[in-house]
Amino acid sequence: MTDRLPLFVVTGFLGSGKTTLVQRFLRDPAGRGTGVVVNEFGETGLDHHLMVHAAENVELIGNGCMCCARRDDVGRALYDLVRMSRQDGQSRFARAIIETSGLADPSPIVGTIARDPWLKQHVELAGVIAVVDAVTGLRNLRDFDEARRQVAIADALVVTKTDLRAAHEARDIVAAATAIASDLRVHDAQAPEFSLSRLFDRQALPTARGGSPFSATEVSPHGEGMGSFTFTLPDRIDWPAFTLWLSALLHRHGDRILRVKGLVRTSAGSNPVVIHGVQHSMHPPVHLTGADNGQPSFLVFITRGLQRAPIEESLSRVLDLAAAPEEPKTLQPV
Amino acid sequence: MCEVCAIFGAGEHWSDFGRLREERFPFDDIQHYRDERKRRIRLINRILTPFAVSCEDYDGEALMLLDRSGRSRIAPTLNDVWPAAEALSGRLIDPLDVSFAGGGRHD
Repeated sequence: MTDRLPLFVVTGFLGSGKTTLVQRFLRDPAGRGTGVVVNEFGETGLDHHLMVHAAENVELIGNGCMCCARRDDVGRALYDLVRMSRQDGQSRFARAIIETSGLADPSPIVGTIARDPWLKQHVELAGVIAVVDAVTGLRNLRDFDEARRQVAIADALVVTKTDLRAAHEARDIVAAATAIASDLRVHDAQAPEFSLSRLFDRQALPTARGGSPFSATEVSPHGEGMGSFTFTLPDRIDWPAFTLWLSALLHRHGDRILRVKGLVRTSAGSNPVVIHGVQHSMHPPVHLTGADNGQPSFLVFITRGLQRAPIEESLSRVLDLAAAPEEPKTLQPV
Repeated sequence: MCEVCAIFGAGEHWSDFGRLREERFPFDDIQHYRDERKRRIRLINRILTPFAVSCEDYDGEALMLLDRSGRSRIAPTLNDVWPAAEALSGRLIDPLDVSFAGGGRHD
């Protein structure tokens, strides 16, 4: 597998502090060699000292970061970014960041990468970072589906402005966010131990640390609203059958499956495998090594408008069919 | 390569990943790998029969899907199976539909 350009999607409401966060990172030594895609030129508020205005769209900025300002197509922007990052046969950039505009649903970006064969080969979704500010974030999460969706799809959460007097308690915001996505890695941007390099770190896969399982609150979706549910899996799952089922499910319903995560014990290996996907895009599975604490296999889904029962029944049918003896009766075409 | 990693050869599908980037685990048992592959193809056929599409091994790595009139599509990885099958059958394949994989239970 050739090295793909790691891409971080930074999402958050207007005023959440996400632009400031990206600027901070670009100025930090850890941010060296970052390509930035901005959705709309001039709207992101990136410090103009960092940007040299474009005749055409691509310019080198300050400490070697690159800005590619595009007015339209995210896929096109990413393509240009990769192409430019690979000049002279080498990778000039260690990573790319795309900052979504304030109210945007980050999922189309994920979908764009997952569906385009070229992009999938050259870009790796390294992480989705949701930025929430401590003053308005709690209310936004309560009142706006867009805010919840941004968090649902995120791997990491950065809470900003915790130092302000009007800030809510960080733990209340963290509680509200982890109720949506239980294993978010949470960062407080004002904390002394806050590390930008750790935030923009591609090995950001969720793991069941020290035996504590994902525990998603069960939320049934109302209509097309968001819901999350967990179900336990049979002790040893048939890996070929399971992956077949999951690939069919994501193909047909990936737009409504915001995240799927799980710990799966397979018929193949002895140790469990952690799987993690965002819509149509699955991360490579991670083998858990070390002592197996005997935790049961399970899957967590965060969906938009999809209920738990049809998903569970669908998996059951596939596992039954896979286990059925060699020659079933002839199936008539439906 | 363990079975988890190597179900469909070196394709880019996520279920084929799992090997570490710099290492390649040697095959312990190629026969086991082949058996798992055959089992998977058998399951795909069971699922696709109601759509009048069949599936064969192609080259030991990819799959070939065929409709009744012999039109075919290559699916290099697992992800490609579903769009190819939909194109051949002219129908959407929805695993949440109760008729998907409906042939397993014998009550």
